[in-house]
Amino acid sequence: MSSTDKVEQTITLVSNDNIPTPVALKVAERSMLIKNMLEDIGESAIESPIPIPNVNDQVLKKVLEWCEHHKDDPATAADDDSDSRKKTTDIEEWDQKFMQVDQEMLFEIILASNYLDIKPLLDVGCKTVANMIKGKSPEEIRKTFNITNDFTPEEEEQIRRENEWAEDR
Amino acid sequence: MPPKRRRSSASEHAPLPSSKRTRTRHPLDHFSSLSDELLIRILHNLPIQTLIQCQRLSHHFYTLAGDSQIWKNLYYNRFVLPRALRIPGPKTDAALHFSSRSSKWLDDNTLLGKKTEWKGQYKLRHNWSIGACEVQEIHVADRPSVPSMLVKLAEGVVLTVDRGDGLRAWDLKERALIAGFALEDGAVPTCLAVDEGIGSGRLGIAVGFMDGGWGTWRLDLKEKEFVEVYRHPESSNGMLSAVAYANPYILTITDSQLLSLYTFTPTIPTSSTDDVDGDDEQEVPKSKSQTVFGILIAKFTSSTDSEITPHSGLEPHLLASLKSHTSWPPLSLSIRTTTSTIIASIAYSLPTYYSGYTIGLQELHLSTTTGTITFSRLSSALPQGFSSILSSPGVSSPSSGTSSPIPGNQRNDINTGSNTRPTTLSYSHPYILATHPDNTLTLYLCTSTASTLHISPGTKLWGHTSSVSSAEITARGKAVSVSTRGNELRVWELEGGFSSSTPSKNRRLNRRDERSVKIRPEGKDGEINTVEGRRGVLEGYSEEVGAQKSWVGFDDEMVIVLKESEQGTQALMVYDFT
Repeated sequence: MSSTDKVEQTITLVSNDNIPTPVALKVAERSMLIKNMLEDIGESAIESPIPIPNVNDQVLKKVLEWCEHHKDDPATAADDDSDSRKKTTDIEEWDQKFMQVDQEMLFEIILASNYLDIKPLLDVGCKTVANMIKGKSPEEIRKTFNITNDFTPEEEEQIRRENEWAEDR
Repeated sequence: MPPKRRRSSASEHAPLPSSKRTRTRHPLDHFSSLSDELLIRILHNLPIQTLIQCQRLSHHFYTLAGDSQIWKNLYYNRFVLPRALRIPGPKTDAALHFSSRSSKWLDDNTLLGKKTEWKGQYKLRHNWSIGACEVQEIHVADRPSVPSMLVKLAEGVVLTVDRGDGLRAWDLKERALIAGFALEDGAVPTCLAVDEGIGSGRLGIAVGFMDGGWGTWRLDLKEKEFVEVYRHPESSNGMLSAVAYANPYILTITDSQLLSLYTFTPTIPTSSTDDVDGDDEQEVPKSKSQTVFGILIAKFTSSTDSEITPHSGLEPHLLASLKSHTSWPPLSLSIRTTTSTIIASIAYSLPTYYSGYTIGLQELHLSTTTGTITFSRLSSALPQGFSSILSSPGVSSPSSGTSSPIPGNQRNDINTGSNTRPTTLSYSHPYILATHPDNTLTLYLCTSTASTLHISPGTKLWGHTSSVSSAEITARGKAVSVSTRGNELRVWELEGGFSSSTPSKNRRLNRRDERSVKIRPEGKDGEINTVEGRRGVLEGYSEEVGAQKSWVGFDDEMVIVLKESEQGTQALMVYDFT
C-alpha cells in the first residue's frame, strides 16, 4: 500500500456507546493498538468497523481530534520506553489548548490514550496533570483533585519531617 | 513494584475524626482512580519538591511518590548523567536519556540489580552535595598521645592505634568500641595501613613502629577480635614513616627513606644471600640518575628467628629494598595488584629550585609469579606556575576572566611560583592530593600505562580559610579535606580533572573554589550530639576554638575526623550523611 492510498483510505471505529466514526487510516494509526492490529489481521480488517470497547464517543472524538492534528508528526522511536521521556513539562501551545477540558475529560483522555497506546498524547496528558500539581501545597493538591486525606495530623507531620532534607535546594 | 492500591486498608490504618474522612475516596476524585502505573507516570514529571508534597496527600500517594523507579530516574539525572557527560567517549543522544535498560550507570552500577532503596540513595548523595550531615563524637582518649593517634576507616569500622591504648576498632553505626589489642610496652606506632581485600568480614591491618619493626593483625568483624598474624622485629634502619598493605604484600618506608617490600607468599623462590637479617642492608652507591629509589637488594629470605611470631611458617620475604636520596616527607605509599603485576608506588614531595615543592611518583612493577622487579620508573609534576623560557609569554600570562578551560600549568594564578611544602599527601590512583599550610590543596592526575608514567601539573584548589591539615581522596575523585582550626570540612568532587568539565558546569562554577562544598552539620550552636536537632547552618562550635583536627577519612556514608581538644582529650567526630 502506498502512502497516498493511506491518506485517502478510511476505516470506521465504533465507540462503546455504539457510535461509528469514520477516520483516515493515517490518523487512526497514531494509535499503536490499531496500527498493530491492522498489521496483524491484514487489509481485510479495514473494510469492517473496529470496536473500541473502552472508550465512549465523546472521548474518542476528542482523541481523534488530537490524532488528526498530529498525523504528520515523526513516529516515536521504537525503544521509547516509559523512562526515556525528557524531563520537562513543556507542552506545545496547540496541545495546551487541546487539554483545556474538565478534569473528568482529562483523565478519560489519559485512560483512552493509554488503552489505544498513543504515547505522545499520554505524555501530554500526564504533563498536564503534573503541571496542575506543581508548586502546590498538599492541601491545595487535595482540593484540586478531591483527594481524601487519610493521614492523622501526626502522621502527616512525620512525613513532612522525613522529607525535610529535600525541601530547600 | 509498589504495592497495589491500599485504598481498602487505608481506612483502618488511620482512625480519623471527621465522618467525611472515613471514606477513602471522594466520588469526584478522578485522579486517584487512575491505575498506579499511570499515576507513577504522572509523578515522573514532577520536581522533587513537589514529589515530597505528594507523599503527604494520602497513604496511597505516600507509596506512589516514594516509588523507587521515580527516584532511580531522579538519581540518574542528577548524579550519573553529569558524570557520563564529563567522561570522554562517544555520546549519542539516545544513550544519555535515562532508560532502565540501556543507560550507563558508570561506577554506580553496583547499586543496580539488587533491591536498592533509591530514595535513600538519592538523599545520601544529596546530603553529600550540600554538605548536610549529623555530627556525633566518639570519645577515644583522655590525654594526647605522642606521636599522635593514627586512624583509618574501612568498611564502617574505624581503626585507631596509639601508644597508650594499643590497637582498637570502633563501630560507626553503633558508635562503640568493638575490639582492642594491647601493644607491648615501648612499642610506639608511627604508621597504619588497612587492607580491605582479605575476605568478607575481615580486615587486614599493618602497623609500623618507631623502632623500625612492624606487625600485621587480622580484625574479625563478626567475632569482634584482633588476631596478631605476624610481628616483625625492630630494625636498625630507624622509624617507619609509612606503610601500605595489600595482602600478601607489605610496603614500608623508614624515616631515612629506605623502602622495603615484603610478601607473605611462601612460593617465591629464594636466592641465597649472605644477608640473613632483612634489616641491615647496606646502601649501594647512588644508581642511575633516572631512579630516585635505587634498587639495593632484589630478594632474600628474611630468616629472623623472631619468637614473637605466633604463626610460624608465615614468614615474610623481602622482595625489594630501595633507598632514596631526593625524596622528602610527606610520603604516601600504595600497592596495586593486577593479574600479572604488583605495582608498588611511592608518592613524595620534591623540592625544586625556583617554585617550591612539587610531587614525584615512583612505581615499582613486580611480577606476581616470580616476585622480581620487572622495572621501575618515576615521574614528577611540573611545578605550578612553571613556564619554560621557550614558551611564549603570551600563553603563560595570567588569564583571569576567561572561562575556557586552560591546562593547569598555564593558569599562572596570582600567587604563582612557590608552592609551600605539602603537609600531607593522599594518593589513590589516579589522583594525588596534597594539602598545604597556605589554605590550599593541590590536585595532580597520574597517567600510568604499560609504557609511560606521567603526572599532570598541579591544580590549586581554594576554599579553605585556614591551614589544611589533612585530606583524603578516593579513586573516583571524591575528596574530603579538613583544616587545622576553624572546624572547616570540605567535600570535593574532583573527577574529570581540570579541563574537561562541561560548559554548563563552568558557567555555574565560575569560581573554582565552588568545586567544593562546606560540610554543614545539623544541630544548633555547639549541640553536636543532637540527633533530631533543628536543621541549621553551623559555622563553627564556639566551645572548640582550641580544638585541633588532625586527620580525616571517609566512606560512602560518613566522614571521620580525629579531633584533639586543648585539654588533650581526643575524640572521633562522625559526620553522618544518611
